[in-house]
Amino acid sequence: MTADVPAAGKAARISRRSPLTGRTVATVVVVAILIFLVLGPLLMLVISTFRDSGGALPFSPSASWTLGNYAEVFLAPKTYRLLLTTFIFSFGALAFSFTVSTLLAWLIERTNLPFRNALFVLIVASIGIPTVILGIAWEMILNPVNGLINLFLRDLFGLTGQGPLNVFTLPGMIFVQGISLVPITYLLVSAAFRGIDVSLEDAAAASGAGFGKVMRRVTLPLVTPALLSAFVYQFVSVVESFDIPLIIGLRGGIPVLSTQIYIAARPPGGLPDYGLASTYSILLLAIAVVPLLIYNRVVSRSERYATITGRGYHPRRIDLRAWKIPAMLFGAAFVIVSFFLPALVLFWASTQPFYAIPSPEAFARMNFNAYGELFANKTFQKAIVNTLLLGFAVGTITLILGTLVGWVLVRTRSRARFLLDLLSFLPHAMPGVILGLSVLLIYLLLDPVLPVPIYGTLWIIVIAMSTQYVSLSVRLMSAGIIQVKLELEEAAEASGASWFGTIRRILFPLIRPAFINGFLLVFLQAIKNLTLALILISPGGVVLSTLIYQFWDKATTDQTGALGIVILTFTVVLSIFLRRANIRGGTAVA
Amino acid sequence: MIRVDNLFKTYSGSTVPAVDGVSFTVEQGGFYTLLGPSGCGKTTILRCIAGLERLDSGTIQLGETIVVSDRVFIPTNRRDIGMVFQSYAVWPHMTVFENVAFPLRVGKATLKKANLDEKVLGALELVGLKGFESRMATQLSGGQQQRLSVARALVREPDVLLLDEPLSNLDAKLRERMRRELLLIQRRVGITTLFVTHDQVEALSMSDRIAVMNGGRIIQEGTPREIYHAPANEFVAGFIGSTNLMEGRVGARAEGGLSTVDTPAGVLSANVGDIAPGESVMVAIRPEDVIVHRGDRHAQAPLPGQNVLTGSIEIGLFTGVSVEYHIHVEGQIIQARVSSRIDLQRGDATMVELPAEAIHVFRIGGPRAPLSATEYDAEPIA
Repeated sequence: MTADVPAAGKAARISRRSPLTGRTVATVVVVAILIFLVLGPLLMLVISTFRDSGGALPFSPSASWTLGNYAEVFLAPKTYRLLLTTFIFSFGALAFSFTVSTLLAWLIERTNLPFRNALFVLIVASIGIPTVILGIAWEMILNPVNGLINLFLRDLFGLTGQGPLNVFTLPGMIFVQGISLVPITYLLVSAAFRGIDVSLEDAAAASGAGFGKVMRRVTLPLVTPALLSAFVYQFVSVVESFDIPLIIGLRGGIPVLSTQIYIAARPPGGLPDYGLASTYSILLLAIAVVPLLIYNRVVSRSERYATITGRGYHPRRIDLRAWKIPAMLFGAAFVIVSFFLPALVLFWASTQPFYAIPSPEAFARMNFNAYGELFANKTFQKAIVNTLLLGFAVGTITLILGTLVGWVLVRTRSRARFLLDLLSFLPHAMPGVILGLSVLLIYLLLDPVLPVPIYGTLWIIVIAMSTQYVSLSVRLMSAGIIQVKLELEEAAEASGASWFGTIRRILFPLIRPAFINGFLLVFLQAIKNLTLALILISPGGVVLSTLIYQFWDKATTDQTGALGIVILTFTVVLSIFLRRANIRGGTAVA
Repeated sequence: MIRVDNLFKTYSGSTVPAVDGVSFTVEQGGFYTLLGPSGCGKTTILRCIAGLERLDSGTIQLGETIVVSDRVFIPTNRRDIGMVFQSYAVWPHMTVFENVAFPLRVGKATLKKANLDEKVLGALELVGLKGFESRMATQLSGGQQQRLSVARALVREPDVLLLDEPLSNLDAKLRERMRRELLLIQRRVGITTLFVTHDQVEALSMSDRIAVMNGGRIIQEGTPREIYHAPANEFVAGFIGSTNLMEGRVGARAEGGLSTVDTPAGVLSANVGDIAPGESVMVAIRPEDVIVHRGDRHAQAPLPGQNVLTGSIEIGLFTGVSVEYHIHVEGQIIQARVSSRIDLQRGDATMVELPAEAIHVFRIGGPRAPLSATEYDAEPIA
């Protein structure tokens, strides 16, 4: 019984203060990795704002210390115009997406709208549409020269010249960005509706309040905290958004902060000005981080609303009566605008040798040659391999890291928890453009001393994306680990299992569903991500998201359409694989 | 054998010690219970013994091995223990067999397959789960899961068995049966057992010895009979079983080693031990020790130490096994638990007899039961 336990006299000499257990080692390792991944780039970013590179690299010997970048950014009226545009764009897109999402959520959750389940599935499936593809499709639909709707309208009203509609305007950007924000906004808002304890509304009705009064006095106050936190959360998403401002905004000569950073770091002609780009980044970072700090406070406060339980949710649905038809038309219109029309236009473009409005002659020209060409294209094949490699690498690294960090956060009382919490939250607050720029800077510096090249390879994108999605995976895995009762792990330890044995044989099998789901989610995000890929990719390198951007930039519409359809099919199917329950979890997807 | 010596533990962020200098010894093969209200530190002690919690200072010895001291800390997985958790902690992704085999598989010494099968089946037979090996653990009922976790704790034949409120998640009927089964298994295996509970019935019915805890300290230690019939202070009297408590003042010495005690209900004679006349005291008597007579006139003159008082019935609560009468005596309520054959109505005049040998007298200022203890103990002891 006591064979392998040391006897009292010669007891194991393990210091009681700091025994080197598996959990200690794991904590130290994840803290070190996160510091390197998160703080390293940030530090580079801050340093380079004070470096006058004059076209050289910020850390080259010829660069000097300066405050010139700050002067250039903060003293120029251009910056304030840029800020104004950014805010109009952001709040416009938010107003659009929250109006549409709240209406949709209310219709689907609380009324007897016909086909509401199908509508729900279609809204959620459109999470799988990469924003870059949505932007390209809407450019094809609404550009002033040969946008399909413009051609159609001109034909209808006998107009000539360009227009009448133009997507390359601020309203155009707001519209497309608004559409792209709806699925996530919808999930956040409908979660708020679902969270209401309906008996509270019943109690108000039983106290004599009519429908309007119940809504105003009970329902709205109850969902306000959740709506507010959703708003802040989405504000950050839109401020840092890049794809639509790049595709629609830059074409129309309407820069916002995120695209301004990109232009400074990757100018179409001339040398990159990393100092200036970094300084713009500090400005954007401030705009993104402040609301997130408020957001965290709002979220922690809203947890105090004990009524938001989600228990006993059996709402009596409100009968829409005569409003049924308009409501259905509204739902259908949204699904068409967000999903079917873009997909159809891409498909149409892919079948046409040159872009034209549907007509008998155009139908006669339809063919699928573009797909054959695409699959035979060596660059496309390389992009597929690279993209899959990227997705797998990012998914694996992020989820393993997320599991370990989540474990330390949930299971230990380690003093490192505060640090880990902060470090894993920061990348979420860091706009993609800034993260990309910072990672670029650090590997420019480190590359000469690294044994293997990172800069200019696929791996720099892997590292940047792993950093970006570590927040998401920590949140997902923490939630997964909390579900596993601590006693299950303690029982394993009390049965003689080591720390690693407990993790491997007890914890991991129990959180495997969350792990796989998280992996798919990160995989999907990595494939859709254009921002980091575009900033970090080397001239010879290619992934699917940058490839479609190149096709579109060179105006090869049939190839753009074909590749768009291929990517769309892949990402939408993948997003349907994501377990519904977790998608409904909502906040995780971002 | 378990020896705990001078254990101290304060959780970070708290100023009150969770465990405040606790020492006790569990004899080889003994069934020892830590009993107390929630937050008294009993679970912390158990977790320290298991190594799931660090102590601030103190020594813990399991069998021949010192597992915690100033210089030593042996992690949980290298302690020779078996532990049963409150929530069973049965692993849902494994079968019954795999659950029980786990401690053998993660151990240092690798067993031969036949040997492992034999041990697992032996443990399952011991707890009456033979034939369930290939079921998934989650397909078992609550009571079966509990037995599974006992089998898992015993399968590697550890030195000590640690039980952390193992019965509290079961329903009342099942809990009663599991008490019997668990004790039978412990007696059959003869394993040194430490049991943690807030349930006095479990503690009284199963233990060889009980340590009653409050505020991180052991305030009385003894056999179940000692604890119940000779509570050392007001807390134990109030926490274990239900008790009538009255303030009083010790008066003159009376015959037969008794003294008079002045209480609001009247002058009683009782054994006050070494408490001097004039001291303020608490007087305790258990409801089942109170004798109730119908009518307002005692048949014969009361004997010394019989303590007969006059009162009237405030209310009677019929529970089947017994009736609990709340009796008005001089503005005090005295509870009495008597045979359910005795049928009295509200307002009936009664004679209440408080036998001197059943009265316990404590100095005021000793440990007290928490306010909720009386409510909590209102659960019938029978």
